Amino acid sequence: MKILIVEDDPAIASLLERTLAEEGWRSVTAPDGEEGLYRAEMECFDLMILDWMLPGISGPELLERLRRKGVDLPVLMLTARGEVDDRIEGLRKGADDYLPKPFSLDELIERIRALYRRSLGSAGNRLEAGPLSLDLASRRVWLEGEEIELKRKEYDLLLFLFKHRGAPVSREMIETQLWESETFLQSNVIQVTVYNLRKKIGKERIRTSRGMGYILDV
Amino acid sequence: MLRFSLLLLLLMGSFSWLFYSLSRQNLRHKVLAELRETALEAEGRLLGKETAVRDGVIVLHFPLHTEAALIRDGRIAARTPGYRPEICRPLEHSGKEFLLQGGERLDACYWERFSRPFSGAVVLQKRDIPNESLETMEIFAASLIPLTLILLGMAWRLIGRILTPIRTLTDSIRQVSVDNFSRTVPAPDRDDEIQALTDAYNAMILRLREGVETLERFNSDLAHELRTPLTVIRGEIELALRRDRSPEECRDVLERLARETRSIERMSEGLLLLSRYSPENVSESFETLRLDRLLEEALKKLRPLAESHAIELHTAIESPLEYRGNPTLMTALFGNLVENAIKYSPEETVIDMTLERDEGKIRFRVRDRGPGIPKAKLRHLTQRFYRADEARSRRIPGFGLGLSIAERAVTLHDGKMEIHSTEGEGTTVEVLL
Repeated sequence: MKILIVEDDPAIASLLERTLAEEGWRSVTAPDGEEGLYRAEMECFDLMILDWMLPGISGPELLERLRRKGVDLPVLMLTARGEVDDRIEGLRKGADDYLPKPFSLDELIERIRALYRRSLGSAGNRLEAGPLSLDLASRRVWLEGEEIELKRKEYDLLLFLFKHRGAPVSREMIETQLWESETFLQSNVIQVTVYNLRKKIGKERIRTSRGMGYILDV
Repeated sequence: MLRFSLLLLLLMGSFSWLFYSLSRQNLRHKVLAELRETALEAEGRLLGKETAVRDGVIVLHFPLHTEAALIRDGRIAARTPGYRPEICRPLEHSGKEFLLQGGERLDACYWERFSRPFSGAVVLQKRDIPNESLETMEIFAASLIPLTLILLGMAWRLIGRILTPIRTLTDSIRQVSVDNFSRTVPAPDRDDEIQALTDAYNAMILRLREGVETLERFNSDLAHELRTPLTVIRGEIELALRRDRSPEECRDVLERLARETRSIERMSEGLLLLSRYSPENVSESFETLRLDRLLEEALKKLRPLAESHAIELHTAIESPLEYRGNPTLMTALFGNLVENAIKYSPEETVIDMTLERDEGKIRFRVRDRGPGIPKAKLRHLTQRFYRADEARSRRIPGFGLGLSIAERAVTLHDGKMEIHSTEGEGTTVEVLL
């Protein structure tokens, strides 16, 4: 999962980054509203953690603009303002959830997970796709009832393909979703990961659509 | 109020009654004495030989329309032509009598029994006694009561006019509490003391409301400012406890915690400094200070910060420079102004500082070549927790308390602080003590 953090306080941003990383999630931090808005529009994220008080464009304003542009990214708002009215305003502007500072990290993680699985169309942590089933909390995968061992990138790839199942996913999309943009990628690393995943879940389940990308076909 | 007016009514009523009866008494005596004189004269004349008696009627004229009769053995022995026995029958009178009859012609009858030199009486009928004055007196006395009533009514109205706005004011003062400053009293549309009072009250309410709002804003700002370090502290601890950490990781966490704790500490120190001294108690803490030394000490602490930003500090400090003031506040003033200048200066620039005596006043001036402050934001600079440049705020450490503290320090020393700024050129802060 790839998460956009829009937070201007470096200490809090760093805390969030490390927390998400320990959960096996990737994150990108935008230190102000402008950059947050730009990244949310230009890049592909699974979720956004948005601070209320931001220099430049404020959190609620960013959210409003984002929603007006039709970006339906799940948004979790963080704020030091705990008043009910503020929470209501945040939710009204299009936030999906709201967490007042200071918050418990466990709660933050579970809320992120809940928002994420909702966005995948599931109420529980268990995702079912034909013979495949995934557990979001434990990152385990079963094929026809048998558990299969997936490496981290393989799991992330499977989840990404699952999210877009039925539609082709291009290599660029996979690249930006799974790897840091600064990392120098070996040209075939994506192909290798796809190859390994195919080996484990069955070759026919990931179709190659020529010129378009990969499709999870279950 | 009702009791007061009843008392007043009673007082004025009895006063007018007393006045009435006293003057009536007085007038009676006057009239009586006059009549008696006339009666004696009439007696002399009636008995006198010089008057012509015709059928027992003395042709006699008294001035002032006075008629008289001489009664002897119950019969009229002699009388003046206009005497009317039917009006005042002598036998009915025993002794001195004085009648007032509001008749058209006859105003008074006076009957006096004489024992000497004969037994008999003289009856005077007088139409022109000074009745008018008596009547006037009576009218006057009688009119005192309605007059009192009218006066009371007017007083009542006047008091009402005074009391109603005072009552409104009282009611609205009763409703004032810290949570409810919404109410001002509509000012009565007239130019008097009540309006002045209402205006003063409304002005006071507005000032208090402003104060409470500032305090509320301050509280919510404080809560907000505290939440950020608290979030970090709680988060760092929770994150560290999620699994076993290496000693290096633990050290990192503890360092981050220490940093956040220090920032809370600095905030609380700043707030304490803002509230510890008030205009009432500050002068007790005044002592003779060497301002030049205080500034040098503050600069010593800040030089490393300036060096790390490659900023040169140019100083012109008059020495010695003595001043009576509070050492903590003056140190905070110097420290905060210089630290601000350093924090908001671009690297490799110069900050100019002068501290000098000028015409009995002490002038401290700090000039930086920072980005400057937009005019619209200058006004808010000294508000607690206010930070003019939001975008860079989080990267430049601080809470926005520095200038509040500096301004407070200056105000408590009866000084003046001015901030001049040109965007793109820099900011000059000038303090006059």
